[in-house]
This record gives sequence, C-alpha cells and structure tokens, in this order.
Amino acid sequence: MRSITHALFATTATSLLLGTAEPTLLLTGALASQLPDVDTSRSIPGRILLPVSSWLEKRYPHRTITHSFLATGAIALVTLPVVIIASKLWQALILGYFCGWFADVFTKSGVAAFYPSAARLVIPGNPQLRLSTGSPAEYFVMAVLILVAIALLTINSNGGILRTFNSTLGIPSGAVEIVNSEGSQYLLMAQVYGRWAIAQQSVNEKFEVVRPLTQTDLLLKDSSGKRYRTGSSQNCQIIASRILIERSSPVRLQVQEMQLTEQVVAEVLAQYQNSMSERTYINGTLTVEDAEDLVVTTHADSFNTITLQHGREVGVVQLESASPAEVLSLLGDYYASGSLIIRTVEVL
Amino acid sequence: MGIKQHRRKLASGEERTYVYEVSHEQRRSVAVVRNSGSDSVSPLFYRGEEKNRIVAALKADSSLLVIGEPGCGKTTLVDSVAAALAEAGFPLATINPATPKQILLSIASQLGTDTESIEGKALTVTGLMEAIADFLSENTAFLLIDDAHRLSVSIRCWLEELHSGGQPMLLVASRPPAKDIFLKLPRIELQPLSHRQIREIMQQAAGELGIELSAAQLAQLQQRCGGNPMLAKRVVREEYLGLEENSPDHTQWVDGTPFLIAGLMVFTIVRFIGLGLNSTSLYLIGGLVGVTVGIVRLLLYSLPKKSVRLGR
Repeated sequence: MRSITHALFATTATSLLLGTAEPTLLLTGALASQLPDVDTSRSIPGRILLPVSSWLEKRYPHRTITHSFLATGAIALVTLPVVIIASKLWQALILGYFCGWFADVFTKSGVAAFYPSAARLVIPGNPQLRLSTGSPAEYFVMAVLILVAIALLTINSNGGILRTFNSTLGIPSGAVEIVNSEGSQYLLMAQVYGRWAIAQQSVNEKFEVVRPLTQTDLLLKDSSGKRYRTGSSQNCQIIASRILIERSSPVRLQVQEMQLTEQVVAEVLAQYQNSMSERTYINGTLTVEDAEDLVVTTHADSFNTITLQHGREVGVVQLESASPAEVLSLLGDYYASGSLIIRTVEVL
Repeated sequence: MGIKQHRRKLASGEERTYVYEVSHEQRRSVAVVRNSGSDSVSPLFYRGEEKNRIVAALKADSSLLVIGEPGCGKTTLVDSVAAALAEAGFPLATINPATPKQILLSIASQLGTDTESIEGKALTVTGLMEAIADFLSENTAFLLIDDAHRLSVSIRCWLEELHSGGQPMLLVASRPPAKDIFLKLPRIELQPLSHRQIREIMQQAAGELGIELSAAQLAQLQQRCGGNPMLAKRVVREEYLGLEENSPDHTQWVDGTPFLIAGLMVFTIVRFIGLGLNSTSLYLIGGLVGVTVGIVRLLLYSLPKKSVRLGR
C-alpha cells in the first residue's frame, strides 16, 4: 500500500478510536503509521532511516518483523515513558503503528503478523479480492477513507459520536444528556417537536433551556419567561418527540446560598439584587409564617415554579427555578425560614 | 537416463565435482571428475537433518512417509537420500509415478531382477510384482518413491503388501489421502525453510540467471515465497522475465476475517453499557453497531472462496 493510504487509515482509526480531532494526535498517528515500512529502503521512512532499513531488508522479507504484534508490543514497551507525559499521545503512537501494518493485511501478500511465525495474516482469504499496491481499488479505498476521516473529524470536533448522535436524533433522553454535560458552559436552546399535553396542539418552537429535571425531562423557558416541563413523562406540559439542542453562547454559572431565619424574604433578596438577572433561578424550600392568607395560583398549561403546602399556621413553599420577581411578588412581605439556592446564568 | 552432479570435499581440502550418468542398467557410471572452482554451483541443501534421519530409519529396516507442500524440496531430499544410500553401497530403486507396468519395469531394471520368464516371454504386471517381491525378500534393497500421492491403487496395494512383509521404503508425497499405505507409515512433515535459507536460495537463483537483485528487491520478492524453495526460484525467474506479480502460491496463510469480525463484535458491548447506564442513545448506537457488524459479516462470508485452481 502507498504511504498516503497508510497515513489516511491511521488518521481515521486514531480519530475514531480515541474520539479526537486534535491535530497533534492525528499527526502522531499518521507519522507512526509510516514506521512499519522501515523494513525496505524503497519506502520514505526506509530512506530516512537508511541504516535501519538496509539492515532489516538484508535479513527479513518485506512485511515480516516490523509488521507484527511482536514489534507493536516492543514499541509500546519502549515508548512506555511517554505515557507519563502524554498518555493520549502514546495511544495515538501505538495505534498509528498498528494501523500502519494492519492495513497491509488487505493486500495480496498479507503480513507476517504473528512473527516469528512466517504465516501471513490476510483478509479476506481469497487473494483475488485483496488489494494490490497502486491499483484502482486502492484509490477507491483512499477516497472512502478521506470521506470517513472528514466525517469523523466533524463529528469529533462537535463533541464526539454520542453528542452528534444525540443532537441529530433528538431523543429527549439524549437531549437531557447533552444539557447535563454542556449546560454549565453554554446557554442552550432547544428546538422542540411535539404537542401540548392539554391542548393537544402540535409544538414546533424554540425554547431556552433552564435545567434538566429528570432523565427524560427538561425545564424550558419561552421568550415571555413562562416555563414548561418538556419531555416524555406524564406530568409534562409539552410531550416532546424530538428535542434538538443547539449551543447559543458561552455562559458562566454563579451559585449562591441564602439562609433565612424568620426574616422578611424581600429584605434578604435585596442583598443579592445586583447579582441577579433575567436568568436567575431560585430553588429551595421555605417555611412561611402566618401563611393563612397566602395563595399560590397554579397553572395547568405551564410549569409551577412555586408550590405551597399549608400546615398549621405555617406554609411550606417549594421553589423550583422560580424567578426573583415571582418570589418577590408572592412571598416578599412574609417572614420565612429555610435555605435557598440562587443560580444565576451569566451570558458572556 | 539422467546426469547427476555431486560435490565432494576431499581430505586434502581440495574440492571435486563428480558428474555422472544415471542409467537403467547400472545405477551410475562415473563419467567426469572435475576440480571445483568451476562455474557450476551445487544446489543449496538445507534438509540435512531430515536426510540423516531418513537414511538411519531405512538402514534400520523402517519405512517412512515424508509429506510436504509442492515445491518444498521433497524430490531434492529423495535424491540426497538416494545418493547417501548408494554411497553406502545399498541397492535401491527410485520410482517416479508412471503406469504400473513402467514402474515395475523400472524397479526391476534398477534392482537387476528378471523381466522375462524362463520361456523368454515378457512378464506380466503380476509376474513382475512377484519377481520383485521375491528379490526383495532375499536381498536388502530400498524403494524410494517420489510423488507417491500419484501412484495407482494397484501399486499402492502392492507396496502395502511389501510393507507388511517388512520391506523398508521411503514414500514422498504432498497431501496424500489419509488411507492405506499413507496411514500405515510413520510420517515426517517437511517444515517450511527459514527466511535466511529462502534468501540464500533466491540469491543463488539470481546468480544462476546472471541478474543482480538488491536487498530491497529480494525482500520484496521474498514476500511471495513463504518457506518454499521452488517458489523462491520461481519468483526470481519471474523477476528475470519481467513478469507482473500474481497471487502468491505458498500455503502459509492465516485468514484474519474471523478475527476482524470478532474485533468488531466487541463494540456491540456498547449496547449493554447503554443498558447499564440507562442511556437510550448508547443503547441505540450499540444496536446500530450490532446491525452493521452483522451486515459486514454476512458480506465477508458471502465473498467467493479462494479457488483451488490457478488464475481468476
């Protein structure tokens, strides 16, 4: 096989198996794939390392000792110190070397992969179906490899195979996975296809992602600030068949804890006023005193960020990604105790 | 009739080449003795150990079957065994496959038995068989049979009879059927030659053809030989004739297709990881990989098998 085919094969395999699009790793793989051919002085690496190649070619037939599991193991051992510095680099090196000779398995004369045994490893068994160097079939393989390599590089620079799969297919659970892994770095937008749970009208809208609720459900927010539980579970406002997640802009997360001991909610919140924005979400549980007259209106068609349970003289209020405005208007004047987590998403 | 050549190193250190004629009547008649240093080179011989073992076995009245792939040096081995036995002064008959009558006549002439009855009539096949068997039961002589897999059933049965009578013989065959005489004889399998030996044979072949081959060229050509000396000479000749590379004919192959499929199958584990991690996407990807591997396996196994015949 030509050295360019080897390099392409090694690059593709490195990108696929290491899940990377990093140029240094790919280059290492491609360079290492040239090394097995050092056993003939006709190859480029053989000409560069002429003393080695002339020593080898006097003693061994082409594609024997350097094209074997033995040599791969030996090189892996010798270069083991590289693991300490850069383990990925070492993996790329070994993978590249392995691919360098393994591609020759598909050629007419095969490789003595199990050296010192002289038996030659070939795939497939029929020699008529194997490649010969410089044949049209090899150029075809080369073209296919280039396409696969480009596809893999795109996929890997997009965050890997799983990420691409999730974002293409848009299964709700996959969307939750993406939000879990990227929600802290990017402001995420969700294109939702599905239907309203109550109205049974179809939905094809773009929402902003607030946070994941369960493994299948997301909390989304529309432009007016209304929240919707979206996913496939029963108590969702939007039953989604597909959720496509897009990155919008990088963000920074700020999380603050707020302790209340029989204090007025509005006064305590005022202390945090300057760090709040339209993307501030308040979570937690508060015990509100004198809550007999406290009424929380519930909505059937959107997510209830504040829920209330009446106890004796006190009310237990659950906050789930509530906005500061809502909290202020509803609980501002009450005395309450408990702890709240204020999560602020700051768009950079 | 044939001309054979042997090279001997004398005690004085001088090398001599004996060229002699091998005829039907007399086993050999020394014709020419040449001092060495002549342009002709003796063929390389690497099966010394096997030769000694075979000669010792035959001298101990045991028979042997030697098997090996075509071109692995069986005939050369038989020739050297014949030379060694002849040198030790034993009568022997070397047989190449032909019609039963021709074979029997050749044995009779080599051993010096009668081919005619007392009345002067040529013996029939059965008559020859009996005459030779009689001779062998009274004298120590060896039968060396090359290409024994091509022998006809009648000759094989006759040899089997001789074998049960205690007649030492050497049968040489490539891939004989596992039956009758082939099954009964103790067997030696000829191993492929080493890379170094094949390289030497190639260099000698190149020398004989008067072409210079670089180490790189030899290394390239040697890929197609395996451990087969006949192929080693053939690829050099093909290079000499400027022929294009065709599918290699040696038999030292490992078909990696099952390994490839097994390796790909490992990736279907992703499905179970997905199941364990409760990740629908991983589960789906694992399922897709499983289907892909299934399709690849189906396609790879539906490819036409390697033909036993030459060419496309």
